[in-house]
Amino acid sequence: MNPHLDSETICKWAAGERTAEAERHVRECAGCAEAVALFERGLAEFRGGAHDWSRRLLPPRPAGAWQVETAVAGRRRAIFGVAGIAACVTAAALLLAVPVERGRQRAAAARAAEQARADQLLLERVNAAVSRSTPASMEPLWKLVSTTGENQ
Amino acid sequence: MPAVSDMKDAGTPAAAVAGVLDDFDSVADAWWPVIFRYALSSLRDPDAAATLAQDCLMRAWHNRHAFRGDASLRTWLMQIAVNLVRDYGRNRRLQFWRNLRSMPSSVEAAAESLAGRDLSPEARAAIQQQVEAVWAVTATLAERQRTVFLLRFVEEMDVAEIAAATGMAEGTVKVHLFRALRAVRGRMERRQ
Ligand SMILES: [Zn+2]
Repeated sequence: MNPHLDSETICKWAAGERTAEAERHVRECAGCAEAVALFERGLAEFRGGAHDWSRRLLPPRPAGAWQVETAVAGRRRAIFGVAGIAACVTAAALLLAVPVERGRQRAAAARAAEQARADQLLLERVNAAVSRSTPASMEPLWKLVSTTGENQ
Repeated sequence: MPAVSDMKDAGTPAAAVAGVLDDFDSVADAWWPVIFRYALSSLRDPDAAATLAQDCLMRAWHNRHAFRGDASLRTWLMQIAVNLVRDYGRNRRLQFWRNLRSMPSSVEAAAESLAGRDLSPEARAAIQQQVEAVWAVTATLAERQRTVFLLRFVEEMDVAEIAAATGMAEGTVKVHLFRALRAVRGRMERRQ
């Protein structure tokens, strides 16, 4: 039989590093089997104690901050949702209003230009009518006045 | 898909549970006791352990989209917890060491539970002595050794899981485990 397991080998055993030689020895040697079992039992009791201790002291889980965050995010979405809809409507109105206003301005400018052209035509027609309405007898006088005016 | 509560022991691959993170309340319910236990055995301060467990779940929640299928849910959560414990130890060094030096009441609990077992007085005394030695030694271990030891012997994680949760190579994990166990036996032998 191989020599008894030393403390280092028992530590390796408990750490999960078991050589075939050590396993064979533990199967054959009651003393080493007991030493290994006792050490592992001690580790198991340590674990059991840690678990019991933790169970006794375990506080109730606080409400998850993620629940609060989710709720806040939901509210934020709701608030920003309403504000967002309002903003979208305003933006859409503005976008629509700009061309409408531009169209209105363009139409007003066109109307003004049309009016100016109409006024000009009317003025020309009036001038023509006035010219034609001057009696032939007065024409020389009119020319004289005009000439006089030009000479001044 | 397995229930969230089944996953804590099985270490179910993340790919199978990624969707479960959508129901984060169930994840938190299943893992709260586990994270608290690891934090308590590491810090030995129930209030600090509860705060840390809550922080751990919060971080998991914030980073849930980064959770991929390359680790189990347990490994992923313990990785966060391990980092938080390490940060706690560094930021509150004095308080941390003071807590570690105080013998936890779990030693008394272990003694009580041993009293009811079918053991010879000698075996009971030996085991009780070992439990005390483990608590005393884990207070003096280097941070990485203590982390590895607690993940193995309190949380029953295997070497591969511990390596994934701590970012250490598996060989390094084994070395830390061995040294921690040798320190426990050394203490027991000195007391005999
Ligand atoms: Zn032997």
